Amino acid sequence: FFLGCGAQICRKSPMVYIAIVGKGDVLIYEAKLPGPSSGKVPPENQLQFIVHQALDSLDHKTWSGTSMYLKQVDTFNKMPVSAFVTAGHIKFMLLHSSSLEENAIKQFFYEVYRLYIKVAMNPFYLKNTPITSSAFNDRVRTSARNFFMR
Amino acid sequence: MSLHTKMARLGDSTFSTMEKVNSELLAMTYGALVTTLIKDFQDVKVVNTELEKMGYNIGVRLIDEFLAKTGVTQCRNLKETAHSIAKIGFKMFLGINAEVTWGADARQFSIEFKGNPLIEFVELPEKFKNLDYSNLLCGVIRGALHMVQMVVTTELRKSELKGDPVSEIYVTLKQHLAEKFKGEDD
Repeated sequence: FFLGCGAQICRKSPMVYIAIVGKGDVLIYEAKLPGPSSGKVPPENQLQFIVHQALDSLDHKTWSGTSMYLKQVDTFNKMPVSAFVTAGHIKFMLLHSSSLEENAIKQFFYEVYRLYIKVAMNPFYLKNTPITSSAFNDRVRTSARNFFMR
Repeated sequence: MSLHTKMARLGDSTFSTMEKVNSELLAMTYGALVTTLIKDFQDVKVVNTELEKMGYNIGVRLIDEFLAKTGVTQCRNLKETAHSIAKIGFKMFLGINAEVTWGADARQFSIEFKGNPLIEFVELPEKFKNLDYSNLLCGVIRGALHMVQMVVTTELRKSELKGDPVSEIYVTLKQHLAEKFKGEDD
């Protein structure tokens, strides 16, 4: 399975993948964001699977400390998965290249947290449903560009 | 000092003496109210009407607080009424500055405002694009004016939620009512 995809993933393209997972491991947002070039980019259909795999280590790490930023919780093919858990247990997960600075990731997560709160305060938004707001999408992308493309 | 400047000052000073409530709490309470109405009635048009009715009930009571707190006496003409609502009313109850623009004839005017605290955080989903979210405010104006013997119709013409740069409530005066007193010898 992994040998098979080795042939496909030798493109160098700027990519960072974010997924927001709610209660019951429901995916409520995902996006491929601008970011520093990663050596190997997993194909589209694997992204969700990778992030899903990391959920177990994430759950384990959540209770190991008191901060919301969990740093790296898992690795896939040398690409780290970093995570952030909100007070309401909404998980932000980022699949990125190892060259990305921890500080940048932390600040990016806090920015996404702020944006998520704004969405959650919308009376028309039901918790744990997919986030369809285009404003949210645009702002997440702008944040990624600001923090990851320096 | 022009009358309008005096009104703006009165609005500001009354606002500073009013008891305040957290605007996020207000926005979220109103949001919960609107979404519950939508869940109950399902139909956007009915919800719009209900919001207006609720506003009307608020307006008939609010006018007394307005007159008591500001000490404003009878307005001489519709222009003064319009400016009282915009400069004093909106300022003291919502904390926002509103402008009056005059309509097609002497009996119609618009109140334009930005930064409505009720719509904080709100994003209208596509299926509710015909929802007049702030319709409560239209009802408040209609109710308040009814108590001072003016029958008006109000309409939420523009809304920041629908992409317009400002929100606009269009008011049309239908008729003045004569004061009715109960006959003493009945």
